[in-house]
Amino acid sequence: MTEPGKDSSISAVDLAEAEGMAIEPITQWDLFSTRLRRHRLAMVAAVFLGFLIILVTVAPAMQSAGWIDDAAKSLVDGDGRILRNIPPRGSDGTVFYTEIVDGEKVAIQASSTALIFGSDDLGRSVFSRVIFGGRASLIVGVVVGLIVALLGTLIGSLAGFYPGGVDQSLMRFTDLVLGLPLLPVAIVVGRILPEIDFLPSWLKAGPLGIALLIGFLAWGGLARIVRAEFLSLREKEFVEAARAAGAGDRRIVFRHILPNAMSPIIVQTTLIIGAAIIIEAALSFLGFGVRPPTPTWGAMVAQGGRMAVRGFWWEMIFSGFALVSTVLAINFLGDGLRDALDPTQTIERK
Amino acid sequence: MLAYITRRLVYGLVTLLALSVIVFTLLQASGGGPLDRLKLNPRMQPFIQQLTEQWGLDQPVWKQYTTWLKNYVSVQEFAVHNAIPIIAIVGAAVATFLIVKFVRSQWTGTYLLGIWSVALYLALRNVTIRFNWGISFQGAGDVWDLVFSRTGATFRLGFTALAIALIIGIPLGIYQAIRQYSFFDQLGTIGAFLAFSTPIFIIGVGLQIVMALYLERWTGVKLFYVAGMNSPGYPDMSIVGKIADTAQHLTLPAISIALISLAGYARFQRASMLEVLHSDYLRTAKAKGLPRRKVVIKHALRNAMIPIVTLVSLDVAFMIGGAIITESIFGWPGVGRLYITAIGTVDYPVVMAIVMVIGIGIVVMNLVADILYGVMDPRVRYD
Repeated sequence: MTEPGKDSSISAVDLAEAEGMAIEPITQWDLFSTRLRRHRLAMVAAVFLGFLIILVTVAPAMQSAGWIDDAAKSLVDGDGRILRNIPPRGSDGTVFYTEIVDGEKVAIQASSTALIFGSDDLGRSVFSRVIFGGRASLIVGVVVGLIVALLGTLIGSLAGFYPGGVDQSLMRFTDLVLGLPLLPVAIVVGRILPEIDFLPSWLKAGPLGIALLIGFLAWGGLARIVRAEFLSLREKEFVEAARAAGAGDRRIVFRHILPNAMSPIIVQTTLIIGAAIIIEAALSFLGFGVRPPTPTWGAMVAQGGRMAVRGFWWEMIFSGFALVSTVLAINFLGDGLRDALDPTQTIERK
Repeated sequence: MLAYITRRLVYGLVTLLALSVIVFTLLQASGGGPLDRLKLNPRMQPFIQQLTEQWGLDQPVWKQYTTWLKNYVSVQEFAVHNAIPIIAIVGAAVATFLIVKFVRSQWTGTYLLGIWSVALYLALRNVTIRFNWGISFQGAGDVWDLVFSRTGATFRLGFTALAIALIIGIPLGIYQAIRQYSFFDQLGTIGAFLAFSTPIFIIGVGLQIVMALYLERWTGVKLFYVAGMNSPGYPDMSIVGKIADTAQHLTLPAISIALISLAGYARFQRASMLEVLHSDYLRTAKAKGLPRRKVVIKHALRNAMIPIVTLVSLDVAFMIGGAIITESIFGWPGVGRLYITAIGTVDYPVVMAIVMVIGIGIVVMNLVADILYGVMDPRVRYD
């Protein structure tokens, strides 16, 4: 038996090079991406989410280019003249209903081949509003994800790395935030937000204010998880070795502990993003979230529900479907990430 | 143990104080006061000054807060009608002492919880107690009376939902674990993912429109009602009619609250059961040749049920949140809908009262969860 090492004369790499071949090491990233690609649902979810992100990013450009209808304008004018897309009644089975809203004539248009998602109660294209509604949800998802990941990791790692007073005080603070009833408090803030005079207008009624609110209420769970990871990793031999080699706190945290704690951080943040989108939608549904005229899926489900009572089912179905499938995709992606980032899982060769 | 409970209660009190400060400050920060609407009415002008003084709205915010806090915890009315409360509390205390001292069983915690629930229920039924929670700014009267006139409806909804979730969710999880990777297990997993990803208001509005509204339109049968807790003619109905009417109103909102919890219980029970099924002592039980039924029910199930107790206790807090949304969808006359109404009209005393009730509920349920967990699982120790 030959011991592999510096003094052994021939290694596998030498052999391979002698044969004119190169051996490429399998990196962590290779392992991760191979595992993730095997999780079919997670891949479908990732593609769907990527498509959605692109779609909502280019939505204003598409609107100004005229590819999709203006999400804020009615498709009929004040006299009931049809501006776009409504074929004569009955020509292809399309039905539309004219109503008087605030003294103005508005046509509700059913879902049809000409206007696939139909129109809402003010005659606006539901298709455009579903796309623009995705902007609010995704902004909330991204901002809450960033806040939670940063705050949770920061507080969790400080508490886990410095035992004693720092740990105690930070964890008491975390317990306090976790003890706040999220939805009731969020409802109060959502209700009050537009009325606070000194706040800038982008914070008052837009999705950003709601996102900041949810983000600052939701990081507690992640902080606990990160702290637990740090507590266990801190005692590991490789950290001891690094310290013996003269590494400072900063190097140990950023080069040795944090990379090993990344997988629960990523998975937990993904799951919180899904939950945050649901909470924003719930706030908007109740009328305490993003204020009209900015379209959001939550508010559209609320309005669509009132329309569905009268038999106009399309707005609720399409906005609800968009919301559920987005959250479902995020949860599937989180599940796939959890499997792919699990280092105890072996990767079998085919 | 006692030191642990005391420490947890102190932390809980700090959390509640922080919660009250945050919400109170937020409510103060809203533009305009609760009197804004009255100011529009010229006939109310003479009363504005009087009401401002009476409600202390001219005081600085910190003064208003301390006044509120002092009132909130001060008893306005307290009367013991008979000896039952004293007997119940003393009896429960004696029973607790005896059980802790002499009974050596896994079920100690369950006994204690049961005894104290009954004792507290009996005590509260025979006592009149009212805290000074203030007067509603919107003319709805005393806040204590207002909130507690609504708790019955919320408890009815919450307990039904909890019962549905437990009765369906736990057996579902056990079955999924026993038949791991079967078609049914996969179906359950997908169903759970779907339930987790569907906001409660979509379930609620969806059930309301399809099961109550369209079902009647399509079939002509009125199976469920769209909103409310009872029909107007409820008092004149027969017993059977009353039960049917209640069920027709209760089913849809209860299902919409229960569905997400149900999926959670099934997932949790499945994971916990799988862990136990793969444990060494279960392999021993199988190796001894015990029948499969006995292995699953006596050896596995008992231990797999422990974690679910914690989850259920914590879930009560989640259900309160679910009740806020569901009650406003189904027009259910409970605390959740009162909360939404009060927020809409910035009725500070009512909002504060309900937020604090929810906060206290969460603190208490968290504590109960931790204590039960320790009592049921002998490996857990408190220090």
